[in-house]
Amino acid sequence: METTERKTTILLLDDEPIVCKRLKPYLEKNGYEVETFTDSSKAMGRIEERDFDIVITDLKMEGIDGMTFLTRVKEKSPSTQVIVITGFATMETAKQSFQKGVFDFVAKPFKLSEIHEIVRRAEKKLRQEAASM
Amino acid sequence: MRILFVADQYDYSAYALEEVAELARNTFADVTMLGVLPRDMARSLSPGRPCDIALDHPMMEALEQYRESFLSRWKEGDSPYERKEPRYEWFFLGEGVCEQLLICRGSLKDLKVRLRFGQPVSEVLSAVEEEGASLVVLGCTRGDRCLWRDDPTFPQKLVQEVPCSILLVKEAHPISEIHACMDESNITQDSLEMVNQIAVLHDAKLNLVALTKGGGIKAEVYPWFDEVYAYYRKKGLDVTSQFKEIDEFERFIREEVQHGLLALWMGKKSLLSRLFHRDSVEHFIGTCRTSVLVLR
Repeated sequence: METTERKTTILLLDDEPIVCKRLKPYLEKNGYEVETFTDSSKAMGRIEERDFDIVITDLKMEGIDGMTFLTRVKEKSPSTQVIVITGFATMETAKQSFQKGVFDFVAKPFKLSEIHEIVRRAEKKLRQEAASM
Repeated sequence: MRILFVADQYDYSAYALEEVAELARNTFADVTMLGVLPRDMARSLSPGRPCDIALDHPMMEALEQYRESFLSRWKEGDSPYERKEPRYEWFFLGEGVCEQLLICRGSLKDLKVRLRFGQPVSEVLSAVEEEGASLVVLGCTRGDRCLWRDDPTFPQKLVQEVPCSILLVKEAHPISEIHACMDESNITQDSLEMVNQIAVLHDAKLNLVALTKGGGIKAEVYPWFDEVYAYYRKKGLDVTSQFKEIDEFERFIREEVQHGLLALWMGKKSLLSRLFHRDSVEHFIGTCRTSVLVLR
């Protein structure tokens, strides 16, 4: 991660605890501020309280599904870069995600380095958008 | 997901391409198509000079055909691999020289076509590491053999060595059932997810098979088996379970796994690996008439 005035903030939502357990320390080690949620309604509450630079979300979850969640994220904070991670990838969900304005769509399984690379590209986009304002 | 498609110029690789394309259509995976040629062929190459002038090998034409066939699966505007506006990028040409080349990349995801030179298994292992591949896919001859024409034992050697999951496509036919065989507690999250994706992709039934020895299953494995079953049930898959004696395993895959996909969890502690000699995976892959997914 390049040096910035503050850490890039990431909200990670996946109803499988192991995904959060695996990604959180990895991203924190790489200099990010990470909040994790396994309950989509709690994550929804959190995004109403504050904006995040990057949101990484699963799609298929009990309660509020990932598509509803990411739609709300983009409504509330259009500049937030959303990365979808899913174990149920289909062409329809991929296309729908991009139509909703997600930054990237990643099918599980993935290597941690793959997510890190995408997060770095999302950061670059955030910087470019901030510079053009 | 990042897929490494290891190919040569023969029909079975074209069959395997169908599976790669179907996976990519649904997962929007980054895909690398890789061919490996003998190291001495690289001697005719010069830094900065086009490879296709120096090399005259059918592998190159095959890789180009696979690329075009792969890209043709999408309607215009739908493909994540559709070329973006070309732009200049710096490339290292070797021997202290860089050159700016006009490059056209995929709009959302990468499709790379690569040639490597050297010993095939070690070159593929290097590619897996460099690309961060989650899945290696390759074709091989159908039926009770699993060979490559120019290097017959390559698929089986690769299965033994590759650190991630590997799909050996024997024939191009629909996968309606996955027989996922487990015998150990050491199952990775990646491998669980890989089975899930493939089951969703093919809308396939999942048959979980616990391998037992002398009528029993290791005490520590039983809760895992239950947990894996519950995991897939919760995911909404159509899942069944059964126990099979390890001594009956060969007969099972020869007689009962006639259709669909055989998935083998093969970790370091695998009963299959311990009970049989080192070539066990190769042996089972040879015995099975359908495609095989080795999970790691």
